[in-house]
Amino acid sequence: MKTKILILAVIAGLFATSCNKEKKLMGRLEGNWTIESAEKIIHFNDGTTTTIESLSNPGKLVISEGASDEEKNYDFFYIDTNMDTIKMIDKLVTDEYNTRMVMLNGYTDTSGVKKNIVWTIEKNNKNKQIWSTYGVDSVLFYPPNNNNPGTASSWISWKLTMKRD
Amino acid sequence: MRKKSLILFACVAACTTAQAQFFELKKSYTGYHFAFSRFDPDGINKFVVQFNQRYANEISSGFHQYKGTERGSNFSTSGFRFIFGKGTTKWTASMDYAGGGGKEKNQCDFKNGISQHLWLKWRNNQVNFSFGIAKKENKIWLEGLYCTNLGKIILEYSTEHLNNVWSYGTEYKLNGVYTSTIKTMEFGAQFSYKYKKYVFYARALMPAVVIGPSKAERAFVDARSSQEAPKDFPSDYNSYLDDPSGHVSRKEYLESTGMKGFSYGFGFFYLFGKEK
Repeated sequence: MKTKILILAVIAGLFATSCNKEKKLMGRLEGNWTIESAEKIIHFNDGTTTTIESLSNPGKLVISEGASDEEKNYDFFYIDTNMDTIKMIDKLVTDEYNTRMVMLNGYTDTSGVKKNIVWTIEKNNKNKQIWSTYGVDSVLFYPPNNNNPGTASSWISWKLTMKRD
Repeated sequence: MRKKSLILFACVAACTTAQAQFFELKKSYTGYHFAFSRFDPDGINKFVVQFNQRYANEISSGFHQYKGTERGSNFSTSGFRFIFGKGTTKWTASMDYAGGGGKEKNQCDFKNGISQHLWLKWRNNQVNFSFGIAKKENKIWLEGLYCTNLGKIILEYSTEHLNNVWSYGTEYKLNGVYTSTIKTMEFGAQFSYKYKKYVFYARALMPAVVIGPSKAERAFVDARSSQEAPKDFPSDYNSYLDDPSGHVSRKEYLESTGMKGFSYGFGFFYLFGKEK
C-alpha cells in the first residue's frame, strides 16, 4: 500500500512541476534589476560585426507582482547613447515553454501604435538575466522585410545583461 | 466502451475486498516504453514545399519533407495490475497512466548564413485500460487495450542568427511557439511476458474517435504572438503571404487533425511488492 501511495505521489509531483514552469520563471524574476550593460550590434552576412551602442548601467528594470503568477508588471527605464530616455510600464508575460519574455506595449512605432517587445532569453539565472531582441537590416522592431530571411544583408541585435540588486 | 471499462474495474475493485483470495496478483507497477506513431504529413509538407519553392533562390538547404513515420516518443508509465480467476487460464486487467513525448527537428539554411528551425514536439498523456487472459502460469498475457490519448503538439519556429542565438522574436513573422491539441479514443492489443517481477510488453493502438477539440479549434496558434493576423501557423504558405484574410477565412492553416495515427511500442515495467 505504501508503494502505491509513493507512486501516486511521484506522478502527482511530476504533474505539479511540469505545470508550473511559467510560474517558476516569472516568480524568479520578481525584484529590481540593474541593466549592467547594453549592446546594439549589427551582424553582417559576411560574419563581421559592428557595435553601434555599448553602454554600462544604462537603466533599470523593476518586475513586480501582477494579476497572476504568469503575468507580472514591469517598469523599464533606459537612457540611450543620445541621452534619450525610454520609460515603459506595462505587463510582462512569457509563454508556456519559457522561450520568450514579452514586454506588452513596450514599443511605440512611428504611427503611434504600441507594440510588444519580444525578448529571447539567452541566460536565465536567479541573479543574472541576459535578454536579446533582433531586427533585420537596420530596423530593430517589426522590420518590413520580415518573411524572407534570405534577402537580408545584416541583422541588428539589442542585448541587455541584467543583475539583481 | 469507456463506461464499460469503468464498470469492469469497479467490479474488480469490489472483488478486492470481498474475495481477496480470488486474486492471483494485485500489484502496482512502473515502467518505460518507446512508441512509434504515424501521422498524416500532408498539411506540414504543403508548408515545407511552398516555403522552399518561394525562397529557392536564397536557400542553400531547405526544410525536409516529412514521411509521417518520424514520430517516436518515450513514455514513462505507472499503474495497477490484477490477475484473477480460477482454473488454468486466468483473467488479467490493468489501468495505468502513461506520459511521454518526442520531437522531430527540421532546418532551413539560407545562403546569407542565417538558418530557421522548425521543431515539432509531441506530448501525450494517456490513460490506458487493458483486459484479457493470462496463460502459462500467468507468465503470458494477451489483452485488448483501450486508451484515452490527450495529445498536444508544439511547433517551435525560430531563427538562428549568425551569433548562434535562436530567436523567437518579431524580426520574422513565422517566429513563435505554436500549439494545438488532439484528443482521441484508441483501441488496440497488448502482449506481455512476465519474468519474475519484470514484465516486457508490446502494444499497438489505433485511434478510433477524435473526442476533441472541435474542428474549428485545431489550428496551431501562437498565443503570445505579437504579429498581426494571421497568427496561426500556415499550411498554405503562399496564401498566408499573398492573401492573409482569405487564408484565414479559407482555413488554410495547419491543423492537428492529421497529427494522429497508428502507433506501436515496446517496453517493460517492474511490479512492486513481494513475488507470490
